[in-house]
Amino acid sequence: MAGIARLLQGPRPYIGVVALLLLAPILVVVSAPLHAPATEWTYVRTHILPAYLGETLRLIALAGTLAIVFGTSTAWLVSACDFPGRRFFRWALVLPLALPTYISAITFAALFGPTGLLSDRLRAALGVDIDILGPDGLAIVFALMLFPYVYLPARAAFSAGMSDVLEAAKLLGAGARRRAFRVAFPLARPAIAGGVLLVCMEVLNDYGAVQYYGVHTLTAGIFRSWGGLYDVGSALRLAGVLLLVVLALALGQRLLKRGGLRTAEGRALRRVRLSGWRAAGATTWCGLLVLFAFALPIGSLLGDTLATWNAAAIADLARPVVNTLYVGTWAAAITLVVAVAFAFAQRMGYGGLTRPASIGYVVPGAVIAIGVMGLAGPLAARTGWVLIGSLTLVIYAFSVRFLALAGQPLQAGLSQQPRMLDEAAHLLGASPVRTFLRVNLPLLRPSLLAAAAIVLIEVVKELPLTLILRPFNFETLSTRVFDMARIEQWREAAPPALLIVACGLVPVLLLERWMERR
Amino acid sequence: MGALLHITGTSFAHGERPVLRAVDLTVERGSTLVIVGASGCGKTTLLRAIAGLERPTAGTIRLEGEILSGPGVHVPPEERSIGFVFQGLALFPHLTVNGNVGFGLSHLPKAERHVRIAEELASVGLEGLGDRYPHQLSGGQQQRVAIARSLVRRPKLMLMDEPFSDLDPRTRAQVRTEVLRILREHGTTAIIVTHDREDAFHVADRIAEMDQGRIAREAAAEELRREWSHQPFA
Repeated sequence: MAGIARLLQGPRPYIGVVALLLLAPILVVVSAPLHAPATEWTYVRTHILPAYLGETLRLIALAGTLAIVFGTSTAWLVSACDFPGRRFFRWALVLPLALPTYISAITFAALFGPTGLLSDRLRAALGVDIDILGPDGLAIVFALMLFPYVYLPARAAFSAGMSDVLEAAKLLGAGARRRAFRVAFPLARPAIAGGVLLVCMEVLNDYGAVQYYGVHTLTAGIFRSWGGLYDVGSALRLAGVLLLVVLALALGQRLLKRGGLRTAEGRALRRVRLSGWRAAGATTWCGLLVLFAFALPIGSLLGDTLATWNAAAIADLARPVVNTLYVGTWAAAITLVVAVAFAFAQRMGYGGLTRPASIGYVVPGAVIAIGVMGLAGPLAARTGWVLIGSLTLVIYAFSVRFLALAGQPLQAGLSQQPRMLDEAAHLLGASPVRTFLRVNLPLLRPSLLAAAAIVLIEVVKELPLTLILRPFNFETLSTRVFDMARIEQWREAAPPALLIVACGLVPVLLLERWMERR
Repeated sequence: MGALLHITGTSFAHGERPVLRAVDLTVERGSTLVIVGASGCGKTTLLRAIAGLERPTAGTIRLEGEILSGPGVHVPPEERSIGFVFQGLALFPHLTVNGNVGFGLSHLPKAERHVRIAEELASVGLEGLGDRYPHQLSGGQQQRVAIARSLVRRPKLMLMDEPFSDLDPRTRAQVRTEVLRILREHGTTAIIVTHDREDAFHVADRIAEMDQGRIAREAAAEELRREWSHQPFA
């Protein structure tokens, strides 16, 4: 009894309740077989699950492999070699991250689909048929969009602490290729594995692109069970399977992380100057990737936007922009309050209670959304409190998903504040709460701004969760892009897509600058 | 005079590693005790235990007879009436000198707080610098802000961890004299930790020498000075 009484002392119960609230949608998904009846489950289990699971695994395998090839090769080139354009490519190769996958995928479909702009030209000029719509085409698009997730950590691994080992390899007579494939790449394996995990997470999270390309992933299956079969129970079960896939990937990445080089701070690699066809090859390879992964989709969006740009088009965007900012601001505010409270709790040594609540970010948006539905349905039935179709649910779901993201800059900022400052405040008579409010929080201001901006930008880019939970007829920028693309109105999709990309560029450029400074 | 601080059998360990081993120590009211010893001998940990920042694993710490730390008792640092000057000073970078010195006076009405801050700044020779931020001050001035910030609360006991170590040699002698003057004027009992014997002789009434978590010996400063002057460098 004394133990229980101690557990209920101090801030623990409050932290516990909030953490539970944030975990609830995920718990609902995990425990679905125990509480959620599923009328169509037999059909879903035999007809949807195996095929969709197979296609999901094939898609992440193909996209992941290609992303490793794209990301590692370019990271090695800009770290270990000198060639024309290297300094430009070093940062330009990060740019594709600014585009949400569904936007690039839709743009590519408009260019390379069966009736795409470039497909038509190629057919007329060369007589070849190009059709990117399909699982393999989508895997290539995903790899093009997401390879920077591999490129960035691989580049960091190549630049830190590896020069001694590589020089040793050189003295032992290993040529450039052998040094790369036998020494550098294996040593960078943990970094690359971490990057591939992010690529797979993005692929699993995507709905807009897979829907458009007609690819059957588990996320698409969740949408089909929920929106096509009207069976939330089956959707919850599919979400559970998707969670298992995420878990398996995370465990796999853990295994691959073992045994890499513990990179100490070290000198940058001494770059080899390439010449002749090697230099041309390096420039072409990096150039092609930047062209296809960034310049082409951006150019296409810009062209379409300019072609449709008039007063009516601008007025048409007003509502989605206002809606997006409204939801984004609320989500950022609430997420920030919780993240600050949790950061404080962690500083006070209650980290064990807050940590589980931060898994939201690795959980695909559709899983969280369907978990929230699974929560709100019974709630409405029991209490008459109808939240389905309300913005409250959307904002709640965003907080669940982006809490960890907001927490990161706060944790980083707090960890830079010496404990001594807290102790000094205590010794001057300040309670822990006052210490946090008067000392820690004011010093945290830059991190608070960063956290709020990150959440706002993520909300602007987010699609699957918004699609499932948004109120009827409530349009955000991302749902506008999706709806327009679905009825093949690519040109009308371009202006809102361009706005989203502009938002997405901000953190990407900041990230690049931050990595550069390190 | 009479004893202000009584430490008996106080031990502390970082995990398995013992840092303090059954420390016994008494500090007389109004006196200055200097603790000397090599780095890692437990000086700082002893100060932190007295301040309540660490919780001893055994023993009792009493201030004016009241138990601060003991079996089943641990008065939190904010309730101990003990001032602490950290080695790194720990000035709040986002607050002005006034904000720093006034931080521990939040229970006072605003007008009274301002009077107290002004008085304290005058007593440490920082008049007119109240609106500056810590980074706009010299090392010696920052030191005095840190001392003023603690003294303004009229603590019963003042703890100072290596207060002179980050200063250049010229400022050092000056600050040393200054600190001693301020402590005397306030009649504050103080424990000062240093690894520098010269510092110790300048400010101490009594000196305790620590070694591997124990008080190796404790004596009047004069006595130890005579003794150590016959020794070659330790």
